[in-house]
Amino acid sequence: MKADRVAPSFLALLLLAPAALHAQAPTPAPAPASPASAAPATPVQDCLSGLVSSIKEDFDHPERGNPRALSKGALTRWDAYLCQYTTDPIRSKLLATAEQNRQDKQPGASSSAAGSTSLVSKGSSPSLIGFALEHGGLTQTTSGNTATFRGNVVNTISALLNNSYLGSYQLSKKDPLVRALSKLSFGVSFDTTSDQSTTTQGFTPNTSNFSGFSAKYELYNHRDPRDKRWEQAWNALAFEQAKSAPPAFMTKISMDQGQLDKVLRSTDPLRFQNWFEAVSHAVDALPDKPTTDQIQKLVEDAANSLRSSLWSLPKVQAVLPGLSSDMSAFLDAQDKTLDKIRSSPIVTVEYNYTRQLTANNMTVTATEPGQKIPNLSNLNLVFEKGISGGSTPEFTLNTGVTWFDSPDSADPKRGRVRDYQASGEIDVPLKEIAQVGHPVLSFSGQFLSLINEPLGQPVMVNGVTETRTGNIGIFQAKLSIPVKNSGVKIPISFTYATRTELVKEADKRGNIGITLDLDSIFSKPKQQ
Amino acid sequence: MTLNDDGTFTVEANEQITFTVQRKFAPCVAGFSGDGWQNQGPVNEPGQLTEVKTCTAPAAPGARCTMSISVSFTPQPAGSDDSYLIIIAGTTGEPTTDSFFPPPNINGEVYQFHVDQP
Repeated sequence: MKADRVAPSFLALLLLAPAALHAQAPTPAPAPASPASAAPATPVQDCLSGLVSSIKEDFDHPERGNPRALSKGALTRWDAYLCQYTTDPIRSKLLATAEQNRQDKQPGASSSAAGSTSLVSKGSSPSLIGFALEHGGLTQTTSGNTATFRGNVVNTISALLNNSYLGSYQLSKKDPLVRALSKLSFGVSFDTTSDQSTTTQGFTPNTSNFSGFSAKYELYNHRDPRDKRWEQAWNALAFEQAKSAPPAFMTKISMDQGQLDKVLRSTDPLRFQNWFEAVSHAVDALPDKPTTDQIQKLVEDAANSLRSSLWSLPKVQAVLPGLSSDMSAFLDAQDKTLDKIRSSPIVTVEYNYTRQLTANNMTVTATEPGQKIPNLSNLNLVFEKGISGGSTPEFTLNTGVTWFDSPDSADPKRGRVRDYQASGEIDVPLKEIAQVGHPVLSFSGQFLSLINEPLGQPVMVNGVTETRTGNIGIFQAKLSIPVKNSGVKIPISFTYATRTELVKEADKRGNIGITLDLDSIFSKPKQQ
Repeated sequence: MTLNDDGTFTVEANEQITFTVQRKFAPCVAGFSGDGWQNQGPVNEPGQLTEVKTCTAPAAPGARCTMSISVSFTPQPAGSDDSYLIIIAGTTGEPTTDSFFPPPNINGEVYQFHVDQP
């Protein structure tokens, strides 16, 4: 196995990026330390952040009603506390993570790029902008570092105009032209390590690091949960009857909530009165224009004192399972709709333009003076299909052809087709790791048939003239590790190739990268 | 109807109270459960973004009633700047508007009412 050395700067970026991105994510500012607010961890803040936003809204719009009175009422929204105190599976459901778990998006470079970690192109691109920094290589003889920016121009402009994840989607669906263009995404890649062939190698020098671009058009893709096709399914769900009781899901939840409210107020009226008076005093003590931090501390204190004084009472505990179970049943029914979305097929056509590069550390030399390596074009058809059900695998198939952009002046008879490819991938979501998310394990394989010399002409590799054509088989195992709630994933892969494009021997190598999908960050709730 | 300092409402005897739930993005998914009302009307949906329910307050002075309203931010993609507004309006006094933001994706409040004692 080759000992691929990761450049220190790349490694530093790899380690620093998640932290930097966490800083960009709209997480609430930490509350000042106090005995009452020290206990809650990050998930607790997430569960209460909607309550903080509502109270902030009350104070920002006093014309809607007395903000202090409305805030006192808001502090009796028991569902927020239930989310805070409940066990992980229900809490995760109450903090929706659909966009974070999508497997069909590819922020990184296509498999032909020097540093790509992906053997197979996925069906979707980031709806807004994605970024990937990858180190490795799949079919090339040497590894490279590739930085890729991938995104969708129309959706990004819509997002800038509308400033919301859902709103930007609806904006782009109003006009047929905009709707058609929103299916087109782009990608630009730069090889950060190569400065192109030099005169010492006999090739025409070129100092640009631009290594290629790609354009992807989604012929059929309804994976976005915001897609109009799913509106009816979502609506139908709202009126679906609960199995155990006649009222619709939400009415049942309202009834449970009314019962919990009654039990909390009546089980130990004095304790409830003390708790409510304490939170009322805290609300009255807020300034007319409280900051988010002040409200957050108020809410956390209210939650902590509720938990210690009332939440643990046996009668209260007896009511909670009913509410939790009805919420869970409602959210499970929604998961079925999400499963349907996840299993819908995607058909995408992709064009890739690649500038063939020869890295400085590669002993590839020209066999004729002034030899120029032709650039490549590739057309790739992508088919992707998931399986209905929670945490089920997803299959992706690619088939493509690559051709030389320019004829060989020395050999006009040389055909323009360079290679044919067929590849497949299976993505298996693994069990969620607390505070991390769902890692995805992928296995993929590619068959590549080289019709012509990979560089379009004979070249010297380590002093030996290579005119090699023929077939290459490549197999890859990849683990994509998410950095929770940041839109960042770290793909680590191991690749075995029966040979590389220039060298006959089998090749094994490890690849590593970091990808960022801005959709995941943009889809998170905004802090008011 | 008036909003009291403690977040509860005081209503007139037999006063009609209308609860309007409005979501920023469709579909509006709300649930109502009233207790102690003299009469409760059906839930009407004038559009994909709105649900409305009207109730009649009890006739007895000092009587109490509640309306538990639940809203769901799902089904919907995670996040967005989605919100619900709940407008509580009586036949007397000024309407009051309350707001809900995610998370959690299912949230609600039990509004407390009591009939004014002259």
